[in-house]
Amino acid sequence: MKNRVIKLLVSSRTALGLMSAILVYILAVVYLSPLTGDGQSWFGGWWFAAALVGLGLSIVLCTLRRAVRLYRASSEESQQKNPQGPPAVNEILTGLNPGEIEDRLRRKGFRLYSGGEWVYGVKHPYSSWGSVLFHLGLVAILAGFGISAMFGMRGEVMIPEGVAVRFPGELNIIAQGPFYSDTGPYLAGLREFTVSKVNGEINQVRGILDFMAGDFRYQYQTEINNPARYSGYYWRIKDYGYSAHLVIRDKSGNTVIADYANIGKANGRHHDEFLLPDGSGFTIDFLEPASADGSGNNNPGAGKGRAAIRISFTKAGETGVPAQGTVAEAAAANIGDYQVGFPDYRYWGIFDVSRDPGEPLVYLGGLMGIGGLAWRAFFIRKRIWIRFAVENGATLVSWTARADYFSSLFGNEVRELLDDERGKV
Amino acid sequence: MSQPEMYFFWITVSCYIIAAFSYLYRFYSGSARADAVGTRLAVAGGIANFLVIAIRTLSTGHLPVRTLYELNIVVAFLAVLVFLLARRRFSWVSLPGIISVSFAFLVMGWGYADSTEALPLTPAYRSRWLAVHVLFALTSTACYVLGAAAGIFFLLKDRFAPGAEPERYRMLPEKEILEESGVRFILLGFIAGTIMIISGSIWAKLLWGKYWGWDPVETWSLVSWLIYGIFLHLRFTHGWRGRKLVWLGLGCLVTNIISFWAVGLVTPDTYHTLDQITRPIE
Repeated sequence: MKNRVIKLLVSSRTALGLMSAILVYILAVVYLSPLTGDGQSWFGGWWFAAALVGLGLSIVLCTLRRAVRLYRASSEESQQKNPQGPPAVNEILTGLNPGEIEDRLRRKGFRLYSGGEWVYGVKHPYSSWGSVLFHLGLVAILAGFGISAMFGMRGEVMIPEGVAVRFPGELNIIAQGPFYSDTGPYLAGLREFTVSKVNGEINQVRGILDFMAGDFRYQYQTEINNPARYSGYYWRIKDYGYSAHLVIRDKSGNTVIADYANIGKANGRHHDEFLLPDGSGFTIDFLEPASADGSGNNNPGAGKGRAAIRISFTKAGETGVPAQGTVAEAAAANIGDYQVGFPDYRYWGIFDVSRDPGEPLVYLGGLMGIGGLAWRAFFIRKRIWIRFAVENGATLVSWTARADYFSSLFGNEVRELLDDERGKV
Repeated sequence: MSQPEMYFFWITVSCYIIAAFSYLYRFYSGSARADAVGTRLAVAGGIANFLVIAIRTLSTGHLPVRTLYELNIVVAFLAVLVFLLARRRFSWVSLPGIISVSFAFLVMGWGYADSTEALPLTPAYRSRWLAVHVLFALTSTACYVLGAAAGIFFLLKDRFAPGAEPERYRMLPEKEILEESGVRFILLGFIAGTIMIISGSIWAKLLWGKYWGWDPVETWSLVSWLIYGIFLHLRFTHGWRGRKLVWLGLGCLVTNIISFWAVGLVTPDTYHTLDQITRPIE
């Protein structure tokens, strides 16, 4: 039973079958997920993970078997550099003498071993190891994913500009591996956040993060595509919005609110709803400032480099047209029963925080995969057995050429090489 | 689209069209002159195509891979470049040029008909991985097209018994050479596709926080890569050859075309538009 399982896993047909099964499953999900509404969960199931693990295991075993065979074959070959030679299947009469032909072969990169009547030539003898390297690279990538899934985590945290949060206490964890353990606590503060625009289009989003643990302080500038990295965790900008500094006073001049309101996003607008202490509420639309060149300003009320807020008050239990108005940055206005001041604003950022301990394996596997594939494809092992018979100033060459891949193309190369007219190297 | 870009665009398209017809004429008449004319025009078109890309890069300030038009002018250039490089090595490859060069002018025309408007790069595009990921993706398609072209000529030649084929098929090498060349181009495309997938995963990790998000374009790229992987295993490990292998290769190209063009068009919900600042993966 044990042997049967090992035999099954060692078979390249199993690897190919698993690859095909995974492929069919992915295609099925692509078409079925619109019906269920969530394609992601289909790939999170244990059966999919099991298929990937099975494929990884099968690739490892097939690769090991191949590596052992290659090792044995290469040691056998090195012991008999000049085998008896296969039956000659091609013959060509050429004006080149044997020495010239051997020179041409050497210049083409062949190592020649002579002895007896046959000359044996080989080029790129270790090419097959490229295939082993490629498959081990794939396994390393899968292993990296697996390690990250088991020991890593993903979470997110919102940080308003100028505020620090406690890590990991204030982190909202989205996914966590069964063996994940967090590092010691530290503070992460968003010192500065900027959104640069060119012709009204967002050009780049940057944040300066402070990481603080005891007396230690580390500052990192992060931007889209360039996450901050601290203590093994990536901090990546995921989203941003505005926090409007509001000073709202009632008719008697009493301050109702004097704080920053973090305005969320809805349907692409910076829009949010808030409650007042008396039970009534208000909605805010944040009108983004136009860029310095004035372009891209679709927000009436906001100006060059100057934001504004549109605010509507609603009273509990009342219907009808609410009191509403627009207040520019660094200004105040009376709206309904309130005086609204909007001294300034700042940004908030949502950061995706992740720990990915399998990352080095993924990078290493990527390099091994590409390197192995290129090695196998560009340095194909080619072998030639050649025998000469000199008659009347011409050489009759009997030869057989074999390449791991593309033997016919290699045969043509050899024909050209032996041809005294076209085969000039 | 600036005026110099437009001039060079039409020079490119004209050269490619005439080159493709020259190769077609070569196939039907056997004229060596048509072959030489076709190759010179393909080279001239390739140079003009490169100038289109260079002018576009200078005018937009970024590698032209933002819109369908931009992607198509780059893939057209790569398809012709790969074809010309292969042509340099194997003289008979001029005949598959009928397909590779036609592919180039067709995708250029499609891109032009879609929109030539230049769009700014959103922050999501601003990555050093952009050039690696996109150029290798397009190179893989260029190689796969040439591999498929060799396969099509294999199928055409395979209709006849050896020695009984019409004269024009004798310009083609033996079927084994056609098949091996096609597989070789596909293998090169597979290497480029592997680099595309790995670089894309690393970029996705930096941008979205995850190597893989099962986005429709990602998924189809993986499907295409897996199918080509199965194709190569069947060829090299299980000894598949001949018609069934060539038909499988043509089927593989369909999956590549789906992942490159069709998914983005029919699935607007793909992250690969990269229009948003950064798109969370849940």
